[in-house]
Amino acid sequence: MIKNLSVKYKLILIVTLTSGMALIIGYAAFITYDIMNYRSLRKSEVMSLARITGKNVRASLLFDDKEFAHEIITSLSAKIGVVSAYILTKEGEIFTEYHRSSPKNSLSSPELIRKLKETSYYKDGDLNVFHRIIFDKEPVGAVFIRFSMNEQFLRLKKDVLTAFIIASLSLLAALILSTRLRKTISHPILRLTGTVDRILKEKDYSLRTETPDTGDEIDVLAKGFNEMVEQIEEREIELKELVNRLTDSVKETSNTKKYVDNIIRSMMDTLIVITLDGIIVTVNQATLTLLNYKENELTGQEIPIIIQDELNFKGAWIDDLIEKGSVENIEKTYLSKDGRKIPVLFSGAVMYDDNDDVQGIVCVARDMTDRKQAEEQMRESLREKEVLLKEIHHRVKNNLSSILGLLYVAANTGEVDDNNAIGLLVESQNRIRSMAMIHEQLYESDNLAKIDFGKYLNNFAEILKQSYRDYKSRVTIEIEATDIWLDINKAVPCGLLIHELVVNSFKHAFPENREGEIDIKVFSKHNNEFTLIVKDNGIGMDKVANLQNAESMGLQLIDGLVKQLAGEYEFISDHGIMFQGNFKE
Amino acid sequence: MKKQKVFYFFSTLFTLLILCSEISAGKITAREYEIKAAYLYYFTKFIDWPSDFLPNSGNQLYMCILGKDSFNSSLDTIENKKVRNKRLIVRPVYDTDDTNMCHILFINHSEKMRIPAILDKLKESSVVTVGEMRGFTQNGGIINFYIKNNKVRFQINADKAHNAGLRISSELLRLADIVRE
Repeated sequence: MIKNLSVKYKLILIVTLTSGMALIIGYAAFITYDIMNYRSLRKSEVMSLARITGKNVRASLLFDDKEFAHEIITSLSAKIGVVSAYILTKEGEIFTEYHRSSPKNSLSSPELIRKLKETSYYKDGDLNVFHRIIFDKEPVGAVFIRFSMNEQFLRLKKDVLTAFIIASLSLLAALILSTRLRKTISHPILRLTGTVDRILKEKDYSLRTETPDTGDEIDVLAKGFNEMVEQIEEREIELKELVNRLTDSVKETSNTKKYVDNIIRSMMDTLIVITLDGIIVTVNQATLTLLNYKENELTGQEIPIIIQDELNFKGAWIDDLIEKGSVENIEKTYLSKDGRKIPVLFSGAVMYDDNDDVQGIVCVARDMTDRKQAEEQMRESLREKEVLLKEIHHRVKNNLSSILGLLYVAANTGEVDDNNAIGLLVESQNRIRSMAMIHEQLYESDNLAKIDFGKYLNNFAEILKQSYRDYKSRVTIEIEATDIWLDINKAVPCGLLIHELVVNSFKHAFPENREGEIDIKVFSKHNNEFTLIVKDNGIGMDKVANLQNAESMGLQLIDGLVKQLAGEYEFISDHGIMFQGNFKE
Repeated sequence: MKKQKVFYFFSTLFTLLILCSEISAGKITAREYEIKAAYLYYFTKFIDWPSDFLPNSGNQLYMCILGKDSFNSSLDTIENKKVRNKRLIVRPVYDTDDTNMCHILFINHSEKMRIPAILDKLKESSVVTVGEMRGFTQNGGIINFYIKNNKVRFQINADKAHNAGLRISSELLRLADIVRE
């Protein structure tokens, strides 16, 4: 109740209560002191009375003069408050007694005997005093006086009444005074609360309360309040600015988020965000469409629901991903709701927060179904082309074999008897064979584009040896070819070139049945170039340089083939003739 | 015959009354001396003797009994009691010459005839003379016992006491019948 009162009434109440309490305590203390003092005084007075009486009656007791003793004791009637008085013999018997009125209760002998000591006590509101009469160190008797404390109660009553009247008047005065004086305190406080109310209602922080300029606590409070409101006003302005900035920032963030959301939503690729524990947090529409799920069916689930081939989720790929920070373009298989296995090209990246703690893993995957199908189709198509190409090579080789057969028949049926013509036919056969072998090797191998030229050379050398049996026994052909692969455009002229060079050496380097050796070397050089060396240890020539300008068919062929190969060549005389050509692969 | 019976009746009643009276008087007498013995002792408490009286008595206060010993053993109760730091000595005296050595002298009524002589002998002395006979104080005695309302009372010759250099407490004087010379 008091808590809800206004300051005005609180002040009045405080002053009145304080004054009232002070008065009550003061009067209570005063009355208590008065009672105690009165009692003490009365006790001392009655004890003195008993002593004097005792002294006066001791002779009467000794000489058994009750009349005189009674006179003495009756004289106590002059003392107001004495209710009863007894003179007792030393044996405790009543010698004489006095009562102001009929006694309320008389003394009994045992009690008297017991009480024959110097004592005082209160009983039934009366003060009872016993005094032993000693004379010449001998007990003579005793005096007992019963003193009424009624006077005290009357006095107490009077005191309480007086106190009540004075307290009432004082409280009234305090009330009037506090009502007048509280204005000096309550007015500034009320002004302050009025200002507070207005500020709260109007939210107008430019309002200030009136300061009393008295320098007291209320003045300090009012000034402090104004200062506080001023600070609040400044903060309010700052806050508004901050809120505006924040709103802009939120808008911007919101726009950015929308933008990002749009990107994610419109992404063709699937996007899944998972926690480190493998719980799916976010999925985009592409994921839902691809896997035929609804969003709430995936979020909160563990990733193995989608990635089928990771039986143990905390597998190597997750650890690997966290360690590397990202993985790109690895093939995985997603599992759709209806059980379809969907090949995807998977990329993942670890997502970090501002404190560089791992926040989650972003998984982006592209549906590879169409691409896989296209690849398959392409592979199929390629296989078909390879078959076709092999077929072409086969047919070319067969055609060339047919031509070889025709030339063989022409050379060996005896229709041509000219050795030169036969030689030309044989050379032509070999030239054609060099080409046929290339086609043959191409369709026999898996690689349709290029042939292993070393292997080709070995086979071709055997053919040459077969064709030129005359030289076979005395001229050996050594082939040294590194791992060199040539396409058909290079291999055919290169084969023809080697044929021309070897035939040339057979014919011219080893006359008169000389023995010798022809070395064929093919090796790669840098920049996709290769070098062809055909060297014999035959008789050689004086003027090797002339070979390049010779008009023989073989040499013209050599020149033409080198040009076809877009290379360079030279003949070197070094214990025979050495052809060295550099070509591009 | 009838008159004779009435005579016998009254005679018997009178005889019984006399007898009862005698029995009662006997009891009072016995109590009387007990009381007197106590009173003698109490007197000593209220009386101051001159400082030069009986200088050789030391710490003793002499109570002398002259005449017939009516006290029986009552005096034994007060014998050797302390009175203001002095020991009370009770002693019988037989000769008036010995009375000078007493602080207080009780003279039994048996010595009625010798009273004037005794008092005359002690008239200059500070001995407190206590008697129990009519005219004792008037004849120069200081305290005299008498019976009133069946109680032992006493008279005090204040002038004589004063002349004898005695200081008797007002408390005692208030209880006594004061006799003037």
